[in-house]
Amino acid sequence: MIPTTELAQQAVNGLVMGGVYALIALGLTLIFGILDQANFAHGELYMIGAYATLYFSESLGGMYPLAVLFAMFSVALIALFYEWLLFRPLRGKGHLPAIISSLGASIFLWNLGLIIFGSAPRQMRTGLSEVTVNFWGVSLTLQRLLVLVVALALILCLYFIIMKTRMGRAMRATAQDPEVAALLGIDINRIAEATFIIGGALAAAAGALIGPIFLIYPAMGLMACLKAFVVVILGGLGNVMGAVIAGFALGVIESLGAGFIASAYKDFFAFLVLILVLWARPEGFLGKTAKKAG
Amino acid sequence: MKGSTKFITGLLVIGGLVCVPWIVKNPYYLHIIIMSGIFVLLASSMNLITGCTGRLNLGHAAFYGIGAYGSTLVVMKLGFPVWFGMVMGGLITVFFGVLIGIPCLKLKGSYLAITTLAFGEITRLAMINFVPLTNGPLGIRGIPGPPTIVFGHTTLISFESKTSYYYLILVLCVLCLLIIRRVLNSQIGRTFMAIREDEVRAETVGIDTIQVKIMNFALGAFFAGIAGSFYAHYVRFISPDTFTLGETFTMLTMVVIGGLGTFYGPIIGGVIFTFLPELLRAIAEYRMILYGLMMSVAIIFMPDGIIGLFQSWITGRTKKGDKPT
Amino acid sequence: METILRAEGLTKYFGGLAAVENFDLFVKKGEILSLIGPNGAGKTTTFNLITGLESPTRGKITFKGEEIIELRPHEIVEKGIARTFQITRVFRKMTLLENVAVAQHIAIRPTISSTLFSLSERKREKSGLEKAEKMLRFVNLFPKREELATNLSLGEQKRLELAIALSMNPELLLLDEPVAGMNPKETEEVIDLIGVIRGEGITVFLIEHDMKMVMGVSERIVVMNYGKKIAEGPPEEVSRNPAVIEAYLGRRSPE
Repeated sequence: MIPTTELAQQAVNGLVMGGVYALIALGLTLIFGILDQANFAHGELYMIGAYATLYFSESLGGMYPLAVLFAMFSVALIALFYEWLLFRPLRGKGHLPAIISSLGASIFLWNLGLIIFGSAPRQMRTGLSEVTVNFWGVSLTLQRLLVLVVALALILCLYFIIMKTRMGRAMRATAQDPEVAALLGIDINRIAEATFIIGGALAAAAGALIGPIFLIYPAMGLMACLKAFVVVILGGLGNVMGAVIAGFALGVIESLGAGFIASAYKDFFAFLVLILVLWARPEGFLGKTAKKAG
Repeated sequence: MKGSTKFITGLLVIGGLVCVPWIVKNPYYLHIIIMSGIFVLLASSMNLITGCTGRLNLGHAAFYGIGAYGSTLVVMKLGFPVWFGMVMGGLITVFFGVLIGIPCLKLKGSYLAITTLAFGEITRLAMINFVPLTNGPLGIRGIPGPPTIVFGHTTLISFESKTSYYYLILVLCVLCLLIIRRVLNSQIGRTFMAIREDEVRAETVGIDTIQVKIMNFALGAFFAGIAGSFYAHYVRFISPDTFTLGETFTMLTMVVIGGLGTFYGPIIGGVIFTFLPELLRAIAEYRMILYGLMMSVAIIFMPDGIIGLFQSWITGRTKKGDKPT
Repeated sequence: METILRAEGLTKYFGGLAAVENFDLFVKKGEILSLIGPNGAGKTTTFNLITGLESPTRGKITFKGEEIIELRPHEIVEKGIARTFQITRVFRKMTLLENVAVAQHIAIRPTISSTLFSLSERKREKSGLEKAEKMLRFVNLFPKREELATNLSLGEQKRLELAIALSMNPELLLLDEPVAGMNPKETEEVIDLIGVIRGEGITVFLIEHDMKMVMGVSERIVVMNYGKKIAEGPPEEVSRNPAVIEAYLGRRSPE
């Protein structure tokens, strides 16, 4: 019989990771939904977010929260460059070119990271990993609790932005029907920039939050990007709520699977889930239904 | 170019290629040339799936690996002759190509890219973990090369020197490329392009897209498998480290820069990007950075690759593919 | 005249919205039938249902006596139905010749082995290309056959769509707004082409908004509104039908 506290512990750990996955996946799914483009370099935004937080907090002598904010700001800027350089020139040219251009950027960036940051993994210390909180038999470091709290806070912020602001309404309109949105006077370029800025900030936050828990290394964006894609596919391309749910779900599934089945294969649970789900429902779990001929 | 001019040019090129081992004596350079032959096959096979049909297969290195391991195991574990093993390597890869292709039928774009990537990684995992079969991360050593071809008591071709391998890969390339060329210029080649342009529309002009997509995967898998089989019996050592995502990215760079969906594009890309690392030895660390940059720049500024630039320079307008000869 | 196509109780819901509701239709072999109605009436959806791009929620469609709703779009092409699209969907980065040649697929039925080894296949490909050239000549696009389809004007793309559809050797030709966006001269040319097509024994079923063209060309008209049939009959009758007039004046006036 599996001890329930063990189960709960793994589940809560999974929720923490899930929060990170959700943050990364949200940017990705927004780009899909609003701009109909795939950003294969999204993981690099996460990676740069982690490194940026590391460097900012070192140069600020601690002050982790400020470092996080600076990192989010910097990565949002980089995401803006993504849009200008990689995606805008290819808007309207189908799916494949954007995939290839962002793939190239991903290769460029993480190998550049190898040169700049070195391949040796780095450790980010925030002191929050030292303190542990206990409740209902489950223990969490303060850092992990922070990840969960901040992730939820950012998700709520995003919800507010999308639902209640004018920009958010414009984004939703563009996602639904880009041609009509253009006729209504919505400037697709501004929307695209906003989408990338938001996506970049969220991914950077994910990197900044997870940095102190695990090691930071230049290739960390690859696996994160892959998992983010799995989350997005599971939740449905462009489905914000789906990305959140699927993100947390994947985190929990991974954690339980790694904890109880085989921790060496942790990363491959994401693939397994992906293949199983796509086999059953090629549109993703919560996605729109596809027409008969595809 | 008119048909007869093309034919003569082709003969001259092949004639030139036949003379290479007399010009290039350094075995290391010959090795690079042989490797470029392998990558020409790999890039061309990837081009069939990703370029012509527009279905991004990020797991293509798996086909390369399955061909290598398949041929090796048929020869070393089942005791069949090397030539048979090499053919089997190709066929086994076709089998897996269809196996992987079927669940991928309903997928496109990013869905397809991620799923094929997943399959590629899972295949690599299998290579690492099915130790009784594949010897795990240590790889398989001492793979036999093709047997010496004798006629009576005279040794005709011995596969101890690089020269023989060079001719073998040359023959393989010529044969495979002829097949690919025929396919690309045929009705099936047109259906590949139609599926790339508009899959639903292709269905409405009478194309059974399911059947064609599977044929496409099978064909791409076959040539990658042949390349893998050759690699195994040439280098005589294989390990999971050779068949990684990085290899797939390299192949993708070859196809994109050379020219997606063209016939000559992957050939040029394959040759360039096998020689380039040698020329860039000094900056080996920066190689992938360069590749990534080139891939992004190419798809934005020269989406039809080098071949596209060349063709628009000649004809003054952009076209994909070769005209039917 | 026998019926070549029959739809009974055809219904298609998108979510809660009925695009087509309880729609009965028959097409007589060899006739020219037009389907008209205000925008959003369900006409293109009907075409999509017939050609297998959509599955009906209810109802059935028979073609030459055979039920076809379960069939995939390419199988429906094999049965003898070809269509053009309202918003042209030509293969943009292929040449005109390739565009039409690729539609010969059902005539050639290539496989990898037949492509590589069969001599008769090469002959069929060659005749396929000849047929494609013939079709392009028919729609007056032969001089541009080596151009990429994306370089064509809208009117030319519509003519290309027609050539593609014809090269599938259909018995029933579905034309979705074949003259939309064309000037009167181009429209006249298309009307002539339709006449020749009909002369070959091909049944033509078309959707159009250009009333002058519809009245001139059709033998029979079916009128749709809100997914339902509201009138049916020869052009003179339909044009005097009060329900039809209301449907159009209430929404938009006939051109």
